[in-house]
This record gives sequence, structure tokens and C-alpha cells, in this order.
Amino acid sequence: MRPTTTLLRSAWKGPFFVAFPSLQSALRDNTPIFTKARACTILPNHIGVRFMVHNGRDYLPVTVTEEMVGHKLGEFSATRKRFSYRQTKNK
Amino acid sequence: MHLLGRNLLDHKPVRIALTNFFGIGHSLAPRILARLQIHHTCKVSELTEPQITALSAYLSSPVSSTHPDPTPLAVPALPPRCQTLRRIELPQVQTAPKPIRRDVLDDLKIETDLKRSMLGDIQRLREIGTYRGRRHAAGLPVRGQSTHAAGRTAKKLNRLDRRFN
Repeated sequence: MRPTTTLLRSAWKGPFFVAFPSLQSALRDNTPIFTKARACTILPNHIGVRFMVHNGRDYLPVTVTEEMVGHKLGEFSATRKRFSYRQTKNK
Repeated sequence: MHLLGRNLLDHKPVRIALTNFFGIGHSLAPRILARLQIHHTCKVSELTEPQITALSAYLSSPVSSTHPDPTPLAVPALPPRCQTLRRIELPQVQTAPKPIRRDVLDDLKIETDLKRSMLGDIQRLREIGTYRGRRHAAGLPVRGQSTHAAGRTAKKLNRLDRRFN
């Protein structure tokens, strides 16, 4: 998944998104939606939904706010660990 | 010539000299000149006083600038040449208004305004927690470049308070 950029996708196609069948019930009950669709564009009707977005290993929580519309779900679920130097025990 | 804190060299064509401004490059400079109706080969030393005023007025606040009047080819009120001929009144046809094309020059941002808006964009990416914002904060390449080679430039420039050079 590449981060959202303009001018990459034709306008007539519209944004790429995945339909979540449980979206309405998730909004009502505030239950998280577990998904692997990192490339799904966040739509205005996703606002307020809690997603658990897969990062390749586990599901990270993403609560959609108004500002996130137009970005993709995967952008909010980091796939890489921050590098930290560890001294080796056996020299 | 000094214009808005920038020194435009007299021997240069205006379209080149304008690229001194942060945010104006080789594609925007001729368009600004066309809008202000200045010839594109005009040099800085050849600018007339009203042209300089127009240029500085435009660059200081592009938002409040107005489009130039379209040059009329003929005065509309001109009487027909041959008076004996009767003018045929064509029925008025209602046409849909032309969609107004957004002009980049209408809301052009240069210098500090542009820098401020760029910093705001980065800050926004960081606050909503995107990958791009995180890469900015870490000082690493933002658009998927390898960190082995492109990392050095990124370390220099990519920050939350982005460096401009």
C-alpha cells in the first residue's frame, strides 16, 4: 500500500474502498472492525468507527476522525518497528 | 531592483528573475507575466513604473488580485457599417454558464505564506498519526525511498519543522 497521493488514480474510478458489511452495527455498538484492508480509503461514513488494522503481525487500533478522511487505513497502522541498538552479550 | 525584499538583477529577463521568489518557478513566472500583460522577453531594467507597481501589488497579495480585462476586439456599441442593412435580431439562447476554471494564480502562495502552509501540512500529518507524519518526525525518507542512500538528504530536510533551502 502506498500512502495516499493525488494524481495517481483516475478521477472517474473514484477512491478505492472495501465495503464493510458490519459498518452500521459497529457504529452503533462501538465494536471494532478487524480488517486487513490496509489499502481501503477512509470514507466520510467511517468517521467514529473503531478499526483494528492488520500490520502484518497483529491488529492495531485506529479510531477514525474527520481529518483522516481521504487517507488510507494502512497509513495509521505502522508496519515497522523503530530501530533501537541493543548491545550484544557475547562479544 | 529590489522587490519585496528580493534583489532582482537588472540584466535578467523578468521571467527568470521572478524565480528568485520561493514558490515561483519556471512554469509560474511566465504565467504571472501573462496575467499582468508584461512581455515575456522583458528585462528587469525595462520594466515601466506601472508594471513594477502591478507586479509588487500582485506578489504581495495574490489572493486579492483581479483578472486583467479581456481586450475587446471591437467596441460593442459600434454601429453597423452599412446603415441600409437591417440588423437581424437573433433569438436569445440561454446557455449554461461556463464552468469557472480555477486559476493557480488566484490563490498563489509564496515565501513565508507557502512555508507556513507546508509546515501546517506536515504538522497535520503528524497529528492524525499517518505514516508520512511519522517519517517526517523521524527524519527519514517519506515517499518510500531507500534509507541507505536517500537517507542523508532526508535527515537534512525532513523534520516536523521542515528545513527549506
